[in-house]
Amino acid sequence: MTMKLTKEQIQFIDTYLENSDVVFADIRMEMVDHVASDIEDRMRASTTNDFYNVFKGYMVQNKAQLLKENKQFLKSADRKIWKAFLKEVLNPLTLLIFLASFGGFYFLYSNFNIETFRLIISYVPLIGLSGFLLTYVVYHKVKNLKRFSVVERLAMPFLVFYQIPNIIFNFSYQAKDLMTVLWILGIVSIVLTLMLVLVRVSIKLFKSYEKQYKTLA
Amino acid sequence: MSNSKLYKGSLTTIILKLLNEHDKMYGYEITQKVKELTKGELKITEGALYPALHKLEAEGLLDVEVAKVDNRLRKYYKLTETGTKETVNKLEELAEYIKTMQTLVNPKLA
Repeated sequence: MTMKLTKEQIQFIDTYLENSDVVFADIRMEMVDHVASDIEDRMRASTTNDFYNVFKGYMVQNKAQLLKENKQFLKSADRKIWKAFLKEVLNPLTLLIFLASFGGFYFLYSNFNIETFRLIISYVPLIGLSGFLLTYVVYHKVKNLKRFSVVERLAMPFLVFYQIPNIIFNFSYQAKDLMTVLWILGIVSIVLTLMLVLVRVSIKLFKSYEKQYKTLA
Repeated sequence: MSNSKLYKGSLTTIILKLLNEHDKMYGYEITQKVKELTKGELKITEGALYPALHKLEAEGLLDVEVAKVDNRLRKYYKLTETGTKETVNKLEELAEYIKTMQTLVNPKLA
């Protein structure tokens, strides 16, 4: 006899796991399938068709293991991010972005006074952060995509890159000779480039999740 | 995982071997196949299996495909080209390990 859970029963499992802090849809999706498959087998093997009793029995035995998996998944998410990030860094377009940024900042330094230049550097972290936030808002609020582990973990490298220009800004008072200025321009351009690379990575990841999960559901 | 830590180091090899013999498999299917092949001797827990699968995916040895099955989404895993090559390496490593252990445990049989 084929025993398949209903949509409502699947949703019950999904909601239960979400309330148990399995907040990321990609992790939860796989867990739901595993739990549902096991429960279907148990119901097939037993004389009872009572989903809720079988579900309770399953969770008593396995909940701890399931939640342990949740934490381990995040380590794999970080690995995926850095791999995707490295791939984009090695893309020739990244070098073009760096050269354009460096050229742009040098133009600003040459044509404006040092205070204006410092003010512009102070806005660099916001450019990258805005890019990430805009992508996040578009995909969550506009396209109504759920939370995915790999995308949300991107916030960590963004925060790291966000801080570096702030440190440079504090040192820019010492930018009196051309060599120091060029170093500052170089570092700020690298940071801006890397933040824009992260935005590209975010968009690619969102698109792949949209294709994999939203269009199927 | 099962009743022995001895199996822990072989989990990756077990996963790669199974996927090498099947076009694609999902997580629960892998646990059931192992249980069936070992007649219940080896039971892989979710806490051991999925981190191993995700690590292999992150390393580029596995590809994933998501499909809608029975009112839910299911993630299938299959070997990449690199994964297929790595399977051969891992099986050779394991064979060497078994041979070495046999020598140590029972030199008469070696």
